[in-house]
Amino acid sequence: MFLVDFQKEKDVSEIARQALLNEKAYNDQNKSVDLLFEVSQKMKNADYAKNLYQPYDDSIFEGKVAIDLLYYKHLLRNLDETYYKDVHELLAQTYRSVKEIYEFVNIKPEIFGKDINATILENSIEDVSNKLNVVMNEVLDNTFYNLTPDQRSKKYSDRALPLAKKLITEHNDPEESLQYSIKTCVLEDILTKVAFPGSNWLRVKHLTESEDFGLIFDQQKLVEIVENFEKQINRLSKYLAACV
Amino acid sequence: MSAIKKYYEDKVVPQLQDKQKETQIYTELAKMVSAAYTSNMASDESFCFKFNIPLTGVNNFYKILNLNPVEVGLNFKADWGNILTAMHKDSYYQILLLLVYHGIIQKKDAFAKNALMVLMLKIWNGRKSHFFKFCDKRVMKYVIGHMLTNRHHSSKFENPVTLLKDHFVPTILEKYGPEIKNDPAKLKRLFEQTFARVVQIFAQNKRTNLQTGKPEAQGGLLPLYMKARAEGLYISPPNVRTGEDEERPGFEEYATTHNRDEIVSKTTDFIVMNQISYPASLISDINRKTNVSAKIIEQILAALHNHSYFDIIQNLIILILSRCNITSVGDICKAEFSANIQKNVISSKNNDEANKIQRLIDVLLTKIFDDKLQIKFDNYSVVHKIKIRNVIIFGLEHNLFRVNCRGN
Repeated sequence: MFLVDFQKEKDVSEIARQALLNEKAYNDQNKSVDLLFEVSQKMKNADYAKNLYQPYDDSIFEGKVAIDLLYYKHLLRNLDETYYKDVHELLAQTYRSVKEIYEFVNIKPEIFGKDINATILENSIEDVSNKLNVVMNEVLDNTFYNLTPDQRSKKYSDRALPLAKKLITEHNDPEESLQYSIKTCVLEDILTKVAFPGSNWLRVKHLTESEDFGLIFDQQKLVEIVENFEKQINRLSKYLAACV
Repeated sequence: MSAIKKYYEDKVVPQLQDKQKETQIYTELAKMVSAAYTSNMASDESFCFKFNIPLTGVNNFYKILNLNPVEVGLNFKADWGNILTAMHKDSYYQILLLLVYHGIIQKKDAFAKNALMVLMLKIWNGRKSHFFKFCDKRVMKYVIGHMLTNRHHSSKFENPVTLLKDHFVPTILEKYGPEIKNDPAKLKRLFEQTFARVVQIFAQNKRTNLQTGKPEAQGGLLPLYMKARAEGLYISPPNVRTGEDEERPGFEEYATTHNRDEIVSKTTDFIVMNQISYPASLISDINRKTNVSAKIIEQILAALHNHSYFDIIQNLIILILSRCNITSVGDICKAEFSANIQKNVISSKNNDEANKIQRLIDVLLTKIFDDKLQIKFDNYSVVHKIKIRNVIIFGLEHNLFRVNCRGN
């Protein structure tokens, strides 16, 4: 058994602790903020895209809705008639949210698809539908059908697994459950892109987190509208995953 | 002892011994003169010009000095006698005469000059409206440029403000100052002579027309103007179209400017001289329309009520009324006023006036953001600045309605 002088040990550790505290205080006092660090912080917070956007315009939004609904018409062509009413109600609610978001962040509504703009509405409805169907089929191919099962799983499994597990526990076929869940994720992305093409969605997400924006605007309200939109898109994608 | 002198010594001097109050009044007077000068220099209405009268600002002198307008009026009456016109009894003139007296007694030349200048603004407007109910600036320009002889004061000065400030104010004070120093009751003489000199600009040497039996002025701007008008003589300004919906100024337009002047003057004075609380319903309505947080809306609107923003607010109101084609108070009190603002101010783009409104609001917001919110207004994107600007426009709309339709 060792004989230990606890008092002495305590004194020594107290001296050591004080020395460390003094050194820390000295370092804190003399700490100069690195200029590069400061600049990098400022650059991180700077809003470079702030002047790229044009203000919201009601008439442009009307044109956008007309075209977006034609995309939906194509996606919903195989929808079971029993869900018809629910889906259309949900779609109306979703586009109310989309309008609210565009108005809130005050950016010009964009239309999804390369070379697609409101002027195509001057053509016959068949021509417009055909053109939009080509765009949508191409998007579905690139994001889902042209991918191998492995590629799909790799790309979407993280997001798709929770829903797939739930479906499997409800005694659905595992393979079908996973495919359906992946399709749901794919459609969530597509529908969000249709509503907010280009960098618009990134802009919306940026503003929900921007410190400067939150100082002046009702950021919490924007967050709520965006969350509501995401829920609506999630529900819509579940209906659509069964149709495409 | 003169009642005015006694009242001045008992009530006014103790207040003005407080140097802060004296400086405040001097600064306000200087601002009023400066605003009159700037607006007249910017205008091309020649001698048709009407000033924005700082009624609220002048009225506020009573508050600053803790004076009762009724008491002041009684003392003037005691010195000046019973037979007085509405002008003699006007509290606007009386407080300014007291300040002129203060400037003369204390040998504060600039103080007396500014007070007399502000007093003359109202006399000018009154006489101008009396002699020229509808004043065509094109005809007036012809009169000034081609019909006046060198003897006429108007020929030596470019516009009313320089005539009043550089000629009438110093000569009147030089002539009547010494006798007022001895007897303040002589303020009445100064006041009446001021009135008479302004009248002479417009009409003098009245004689009865033997054909009509009515007195007619032989000299001054009025007979020359009537002659030029009868002969169809005028100088047409270069007609440069700069805005999308600018039209050639019509004759009736000049009638509306008088109403607008009053609305602008009353509303601006009210905004910069008063701190008001905005109703919660308005704040929530602006919040709904702009998505700017209610707390920030309250701070921005509260910050508007500051005299240092006088010029900006005045110009904004002038531009808003012009964009909305407001010709009378009735137009502001109509239910369509809001829709009018929405269409012609908020949604209007790419025209001179809308661009000016935007620039002025940006200057105002930059100051408010720096001073009150400690945030850089320039941190915000173009599209967000639009929303923040609308807070100011809605605030001004509310004040226009409040002042002109609800009487504050």
